[in-house]
Amino acid sequence: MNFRLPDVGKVQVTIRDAAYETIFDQSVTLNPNGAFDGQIVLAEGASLGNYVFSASFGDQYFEQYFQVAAYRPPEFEITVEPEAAEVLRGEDVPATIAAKYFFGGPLAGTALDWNVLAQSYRFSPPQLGNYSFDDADDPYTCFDCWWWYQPPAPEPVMSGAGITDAAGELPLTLAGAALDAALGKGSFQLTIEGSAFGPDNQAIAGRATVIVHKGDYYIGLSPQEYVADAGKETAVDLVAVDWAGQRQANRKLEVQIVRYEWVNTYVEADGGGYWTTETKKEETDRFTVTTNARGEAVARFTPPQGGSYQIIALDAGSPAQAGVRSSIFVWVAGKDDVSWRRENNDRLTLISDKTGYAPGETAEILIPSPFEGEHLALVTVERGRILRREVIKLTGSSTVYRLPLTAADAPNVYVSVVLVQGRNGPNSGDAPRLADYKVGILPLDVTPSAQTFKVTLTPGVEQSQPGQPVTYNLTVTDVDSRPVPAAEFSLDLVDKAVLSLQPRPADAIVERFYGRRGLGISTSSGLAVSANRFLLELAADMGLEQDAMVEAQATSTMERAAEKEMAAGAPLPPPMMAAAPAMEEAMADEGMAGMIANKAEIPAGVDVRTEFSDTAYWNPVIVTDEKGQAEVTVTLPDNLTTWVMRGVGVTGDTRVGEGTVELVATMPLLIRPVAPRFFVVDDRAELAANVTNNTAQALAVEVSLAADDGVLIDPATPAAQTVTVPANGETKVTWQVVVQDVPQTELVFAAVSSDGQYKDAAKPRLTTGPDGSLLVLRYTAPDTVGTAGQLVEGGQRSEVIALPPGFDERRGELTVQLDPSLAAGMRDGLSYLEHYPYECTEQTVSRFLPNVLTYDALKSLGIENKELEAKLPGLVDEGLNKLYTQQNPDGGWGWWATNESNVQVSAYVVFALTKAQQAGVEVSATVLANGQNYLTGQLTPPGASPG
Amino acid sequence: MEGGGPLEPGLYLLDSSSPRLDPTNTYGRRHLLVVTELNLTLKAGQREALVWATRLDSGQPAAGLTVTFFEDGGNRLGEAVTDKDGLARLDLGQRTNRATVQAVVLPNSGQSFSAVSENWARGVSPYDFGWSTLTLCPATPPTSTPTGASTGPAKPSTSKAFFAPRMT
Repeated sequence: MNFRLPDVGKVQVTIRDAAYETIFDQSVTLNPNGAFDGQIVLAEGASLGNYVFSASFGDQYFEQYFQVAAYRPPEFEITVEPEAAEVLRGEDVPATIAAKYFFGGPLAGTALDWNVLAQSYRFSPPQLGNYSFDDADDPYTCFDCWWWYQPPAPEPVMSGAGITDAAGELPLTLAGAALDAALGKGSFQLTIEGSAFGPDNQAIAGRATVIVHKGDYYIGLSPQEYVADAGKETAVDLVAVDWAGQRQANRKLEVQIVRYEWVNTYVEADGGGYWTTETKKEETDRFTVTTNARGEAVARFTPPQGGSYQIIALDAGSPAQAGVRSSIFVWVAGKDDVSWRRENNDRLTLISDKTGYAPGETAEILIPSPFEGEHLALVTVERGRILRREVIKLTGSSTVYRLPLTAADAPNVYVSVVLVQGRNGPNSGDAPRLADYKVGILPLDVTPSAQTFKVTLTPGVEQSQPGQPVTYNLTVTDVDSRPVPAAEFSLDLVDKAVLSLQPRPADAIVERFYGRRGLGISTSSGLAVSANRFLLELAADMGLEQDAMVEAQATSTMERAAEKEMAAGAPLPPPMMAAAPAMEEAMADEGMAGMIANKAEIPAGVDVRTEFSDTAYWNPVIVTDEKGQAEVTVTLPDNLTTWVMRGVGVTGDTRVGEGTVELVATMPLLIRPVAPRFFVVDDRAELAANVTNNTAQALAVEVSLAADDGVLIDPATPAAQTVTVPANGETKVTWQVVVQDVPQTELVFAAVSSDGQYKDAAKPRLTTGPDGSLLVLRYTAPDTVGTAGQLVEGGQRSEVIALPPGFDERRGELTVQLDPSLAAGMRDGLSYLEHYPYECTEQTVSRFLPNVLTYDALKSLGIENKELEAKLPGLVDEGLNKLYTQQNPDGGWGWWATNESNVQVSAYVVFALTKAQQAGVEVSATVLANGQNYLTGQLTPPGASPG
Repeated sequence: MEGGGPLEPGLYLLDSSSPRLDPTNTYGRRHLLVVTELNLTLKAGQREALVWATRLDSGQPAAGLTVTFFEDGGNRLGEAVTDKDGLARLDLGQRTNRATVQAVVLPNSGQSFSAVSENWARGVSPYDFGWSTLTLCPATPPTSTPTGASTGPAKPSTSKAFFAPRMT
């Protein structure tokens, strides 16, 4: 598969937010590699959710989603590593759960919870799509029907807890016997999940999956006909394959044929009755077959009578293989049943030596033709188009077709073989002479190695520290290890902690360009609807002489003439800052003086880490030189974490590739503040810092909290505390604080070893105030008071305004509005009405009527307001049209457009329409008359009872 | 044809009636019948179609036949002549739809009539092999907001876009 760049020059780029509002819409110019870049800044308070990024040119349109979220990056990750990805039922499942900081180092001694979820696993190798490997007792279960089959939800089956060791690991073994007892019948996918609370009180989880197979291998069944006839032999194709889908020869399989019958009984009961159904099963046959070199066998049996038959295939060789069992259902028509047409079985199973190939390899495809003698085959290689075609001559039933595969066949192709045999050709057995055909389709994967390149990113150091410059080298080579010059890359350096919240798929650009493609080609034949073949089947069904149904010349196809009928909540307001109560009053509290004195300064000579960033670097255009290399230098932010540098590249001939490399940014001694994002006035909070010692010896460390006047520290927890931090360990230090009434406060946490060799200081990473400070909020209730009066003459007037007690002078405002008349004062109300989300008829009138009356008032009072004059007619028309469409056939109006008419609502509408007419608005005489007639009809004559 | 006997190649309308059948309901009673000496195997995609013509009696290729291709609605797509292998290919260019394709050998210049429709694929469709097919369609902008529905990933190709078909 190859691409070419569109000759368009520009594409239109649109970005819509989570509410599908356009926030970016611009034509951008493509560079010579067909790429473009740009950036947008999300507004404060931008909506959260999925945003749509689209690019279009001509009639082409592409879109992609990205997520905007509020989050707090974790400090650590939980990983689960099973020893084996697939096990046999009954075997133990060993796994290791590990908790490790992103900045390096384990979470030793941490309590871990683990649990195991199980969900049914369907074995379904793609190259054997026509076989069923399921085992169900219900013939009405359709595993292959996308509209039917719902994967069962995972169920918890085991759980436990433990403490991580010095390496931050918790070894775990799921006992095979206990697991086997907890699982139902069949194969399962286990999800092993571990979770822990970190020192920052954040819960983090990680998980991995393990497949538990019900047996050493699987048996696939494919009926040659889903509808068989009683008393006549029918057959089911069998195949034995291992977990990887490799065919298994010499497997001895036992086949059981079980007839199902449902007996329905009506049970009489008080107040009625109900039906019960009993399933009767009767084994009608049992025999063994052995798979051939291709892992195949055929189970032939003759159903004695009509009904539903379950064909069960299981291992007959060893009791240890008791789990190897699959089954499928076949319907059998009895003599007394309506005989419906048999399903066609013109499929041919093509068999390849492998399922995946590298370019340059040759696929060997076995064509097991059912036709004898010389006959022709159309072999095509397909993928959206017919890539290659060839008519070949077959002389036997086991032809091996050799197909050389090239880079252009990547990422996959479908090999189709159509066999035809004329009616004059040799036929097997005594079958009547009819032309026949078979179709086989086989998918083959081809590695897109020629369309991709290898990307190697190498940081200049093995480990770094926050704030340090790091040089990354980018090297790009092709499949032959030759340098790839002029490859255009985007480089991004992202905190792994953020990526742990929303993992991104690896090699997404490779998958996007060279992921597996669909077939896109249909195969059909006149023989698929051959009337002669139908007649043959009909003759067989009716027990007629078959040769009599076959005309030597009159071979026809028919198409059923298609009949037409067949063709046919607003967010909560943020807390407001309040007036500071007099500090002197607070000072009067007992112990406050001690708090004020309990202070610490930022230790001299310590750099405070304040620059935290989720994305440390992004460069959309880095181009490799003639050696296929490029180099960038990045100054790391102050995060203590693992940084992930990713390079995503493309060339002008659309070769693509991606590479990543991780780099830990850490320090010998480091401090991680634990603080909220904001305070509320008078909060009594516990602040903490986790101090990590990455050296090989224990350290005496002075840990201090430097706070401004906004936070007072309880003397019981001194602002500066000396603790011992074990080698390669950590210690938590806490402070009890009281938050004062200030707009924001600044906190700096510091750790300095006693010898002064190691030091670190940081502000909290996630804060709400400016420059890494924390906002101090105060909850107050908004109170709106209004008054109005009339001025009848010029002069001075005084209006006394009494402020409510506890008034916050930082939040209040006074608005004085002077209007020339009362009608002019209605303008603001109209503006409000314009934006009201009207729904029902009453609301429509309540919008329409004031607009009409204001329009009338403006005209009659001679008030000039060009904006309103321009706006009002449109608003009145909109309301009028809504009322027209909401009118019921009886002339009335209901509360809602679909409701039956209501007298009160109808009277309200007729009143409004009448007023509009009086104001000079053109109102439909028919609508108004029908409304009046409805109301008249609802009038009750004096003395009569209401209808 | 009174008295029975072989039909000449051509397109026939087969009608049946019975006093026990509703005369106003013709469903199932009328069929188009293709009487032919040729079998056409059709492979159809959005941008090309290929016919393999073989003789029903010998199973050998039928060369030199002019095959005319149509799509639903009777739109004539073009024609091609079968080669020595009985193959006739028609490039459908940048067809912007995926309408069903039909191929017809018209009884001109002495050649026998035959026809095939893309939906004559009983038992041999990709679904019957256990796969769903991915059709190639022209990409179009969404007509409504994407809430609750996804168009699936867009996949660039040489000149058109791949889209998974919308399924509800």
